[in-house]
Amino acid sequence: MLSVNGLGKTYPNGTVAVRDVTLTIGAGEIVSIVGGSGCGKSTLLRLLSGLDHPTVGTVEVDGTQIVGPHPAVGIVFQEPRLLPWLTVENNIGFGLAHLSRAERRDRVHTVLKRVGLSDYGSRWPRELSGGQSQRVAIARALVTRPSVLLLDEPFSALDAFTRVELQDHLLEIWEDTRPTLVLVTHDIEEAVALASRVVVMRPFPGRVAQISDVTLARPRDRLSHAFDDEKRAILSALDTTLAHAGTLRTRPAAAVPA
Amino acid sequence: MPADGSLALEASAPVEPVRRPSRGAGSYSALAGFLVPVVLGLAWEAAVRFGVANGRLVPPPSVIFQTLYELAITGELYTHIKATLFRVLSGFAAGTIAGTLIGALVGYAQTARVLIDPSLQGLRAVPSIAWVPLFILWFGIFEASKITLVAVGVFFPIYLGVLGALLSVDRKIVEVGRAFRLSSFALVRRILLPSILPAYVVALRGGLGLGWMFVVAAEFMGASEGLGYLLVDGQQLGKPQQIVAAILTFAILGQLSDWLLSRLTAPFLRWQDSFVRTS
Repeated sequence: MLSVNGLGKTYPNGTVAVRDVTLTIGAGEIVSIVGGSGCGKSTLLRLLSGLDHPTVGTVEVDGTQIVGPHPAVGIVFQEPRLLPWLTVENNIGFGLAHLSRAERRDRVHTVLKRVGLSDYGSRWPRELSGGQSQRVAIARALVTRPSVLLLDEPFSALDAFTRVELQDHLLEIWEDTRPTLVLVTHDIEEAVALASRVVVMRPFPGRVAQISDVTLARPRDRLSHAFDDEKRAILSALDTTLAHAGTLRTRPAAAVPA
Repeated sequence: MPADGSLALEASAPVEPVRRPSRGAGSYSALAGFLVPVVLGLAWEAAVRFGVANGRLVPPPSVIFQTLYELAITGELYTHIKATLFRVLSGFAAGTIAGTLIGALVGYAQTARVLIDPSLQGLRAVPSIAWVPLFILWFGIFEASKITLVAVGVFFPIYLGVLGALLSVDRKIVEVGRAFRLSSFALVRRILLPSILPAYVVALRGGLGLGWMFVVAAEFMGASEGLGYLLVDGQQLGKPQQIVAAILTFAILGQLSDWLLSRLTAPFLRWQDSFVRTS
């Protein structure tokens, strides 16, 4: 279980990136965090990962407070961030340095197979496509068997086709061991397709505007009306959060001379 | 569940590793590079043979090769090469070690950067030959002062290379190391070192090149053997063919050592996604 209590982050320059976020995410749940740029969704994820430290509030994973990167929490970034000097295999095994060579190879091969890249173990990252690279990044995060996997807009740099494919693939992988997934995205369809709950964030300062349950049964049909309705509901929530940002909306309009 | 439907698109057809266009013109253009010097050499040879020029100050190729041959069979050339090579390699080793360690320290630790870098940048502005009198006073006129001068020449490109490379390591890659909770030592060994390797190799090659430059200066300051001595000796005794022979030897050794260095380091850089493959 991931619990976030009164979390806030103020940058040294005074920007309030995240204010007073309180959330409880059950084990095995998939939660999407959506919002426009600057709403603090990526900052929130970094706070969850322990890569950044909150100004106030706490993050706890299964009762343990997160004060830095934690072995039970894996992270996938927006870019694959593979180490170019390591082969695909060694990239995936990067976090397994504490295991014996044989055990590491076993784990890596299992995960490689799981992400459908069995033949790619000895390739260099430069030889992979964008989608393949991101699969390797997911594999690298999964191979340490985290109970929480954080994903920061992991598919946003991919083409629409590959994106849907990887979303479905992520769900399949999630089915195996059911880790908790927290997925930051600006793609509402992605949020609805994957999440059981969607957290809509509001900017200036970044905070939670609305949390809505997605009750659609899995596997979800992206073309169904129900799916469309969920998308529309979140879109309208986002729209009101933008309207709440008030000044942002009216200022440009006022600046344009009639 | 094995890779199925949703994965098939990417997984089913392993993509061939990207093949760079092979440099088909490679061997041809390598030969073409010899064309100009060979033609010029032959022309000059002919000019001297047919009495158009006397070749006293600019010796024709045959005389140069004759000189090289004589130096070689008497074993003299070997002695000189050995002396110079020893100075270059010792100086290169010392300069590399110092440049790497100090560059790494200054690049890694903010405090060291504030304290040390300005002084080194100041020293870098000193034309290195200006150290010669001081080094002779400090280290005498024999090997130590020469090796020190070479080391100073090698130090700066390597120091700057390591420092610059460390400062430009991608923060995002470092963050991957942090996400996996690497210790500082592991971060250096597993992330920083491999990251700077390509720039480091370039710095090493630059350093070695400067090493060859500085060894000549070092040998000018008074040596009884070495290729630089051959140069000075050739000037004092009016033997231009000996000067050109020594220059040729420098060129060959310099190229050879650079080629060797890039060959030795190539296996570590196979992963690079560079514009042009270096052999």
